[in-house]
Amino acid sequence: MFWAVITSTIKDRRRAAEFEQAMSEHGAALARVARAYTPDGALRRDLEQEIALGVWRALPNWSGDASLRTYLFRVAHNRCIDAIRRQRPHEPFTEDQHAHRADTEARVTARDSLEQVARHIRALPLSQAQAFTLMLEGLPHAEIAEVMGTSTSNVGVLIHRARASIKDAMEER
Amino acid sequence: MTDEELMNAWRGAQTSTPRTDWIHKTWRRRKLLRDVGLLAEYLGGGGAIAVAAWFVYRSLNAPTLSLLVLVIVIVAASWWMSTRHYIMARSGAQTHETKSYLSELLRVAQLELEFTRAYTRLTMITLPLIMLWAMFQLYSAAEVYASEPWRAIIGLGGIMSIGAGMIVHARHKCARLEDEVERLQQWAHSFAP
Repeated sequence: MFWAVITSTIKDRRRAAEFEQAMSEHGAALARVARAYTPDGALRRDLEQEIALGVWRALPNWSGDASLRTYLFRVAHNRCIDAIRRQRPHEPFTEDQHAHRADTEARVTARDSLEQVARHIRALPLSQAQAFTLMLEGLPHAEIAEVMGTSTSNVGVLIHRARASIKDAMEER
Repeated sequence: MTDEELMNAWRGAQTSTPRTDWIHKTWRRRKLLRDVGLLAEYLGGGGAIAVAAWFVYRSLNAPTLSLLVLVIVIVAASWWMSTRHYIMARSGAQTHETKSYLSELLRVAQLELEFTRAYTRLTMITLPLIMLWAMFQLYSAAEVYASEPWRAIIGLGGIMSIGAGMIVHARHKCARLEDEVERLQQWAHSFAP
């Protein structure tokens, strides 16, 4: 019993240290993933917390077959998908809502270039949005393919389409 | 905007690193709640089956037995599905590639939808049978119910309320799952080369 408590405490401390290390290196990038899924402040903060909890849970299972960054981005995106999958269709990733939100947001944050980019990303199909945000984080195509579970050439196609859609949307403004 | 400008806009976002001090506490609390939920599932499912078995033992006549066996089947299936859901949630699928994670979510959602549809149909078939059985009980002990009508009102009213509640809940769940499956299919489709 005593040794079990000691072992557990050591494991917890080691896990906490690994978590702190991972979050100090990748935390900001992981938190930005939430921005690609929802514009709403409170919901986005919830998603950021979900991502952090996902990382806490997943970190001990990292076997090193993919890089830590790839592994953490997988967890972050999957956690966001899991959190928003039960929302009504008028929440993220539907065009009507995006049109409405775009209109509202445009008035509120027209000068904020980040919000412009984020808004256009949220209007993209899921795979394009994911590929494009990972590209913006500086991941090479091969690593994006590892996160998404698709081919490198497909990643290229998705990013090309996303870039064209965003360019069109920005020119329309 | 060039890629570099987009990148700068995106990566220059004032996004704070998530706070880490609450993680351990939150994780433990969630784990405890999940374990308590799972225990409640086991106790609830096991308890319902034990009560049904006790009723079967107490009144060994054919129609009652058939109805109670049906109840046991519904409860056991519902229990199994919930437990399965917990097991899936624990399986660590969140570390998979997004494409395979979506496939897994879709598979589970479709399974749950099929089960909920079957459960709804079964409830809609079972409920009239239970009502018939209740009416028969009313008829066969008419004198008792005539002298104490509140027994009939509570009994029939209870059966109708529970049945209606079960159907409304199942239909609501079906609609929610249909939405979810449709959304997941759209997302999975966007990953097709």
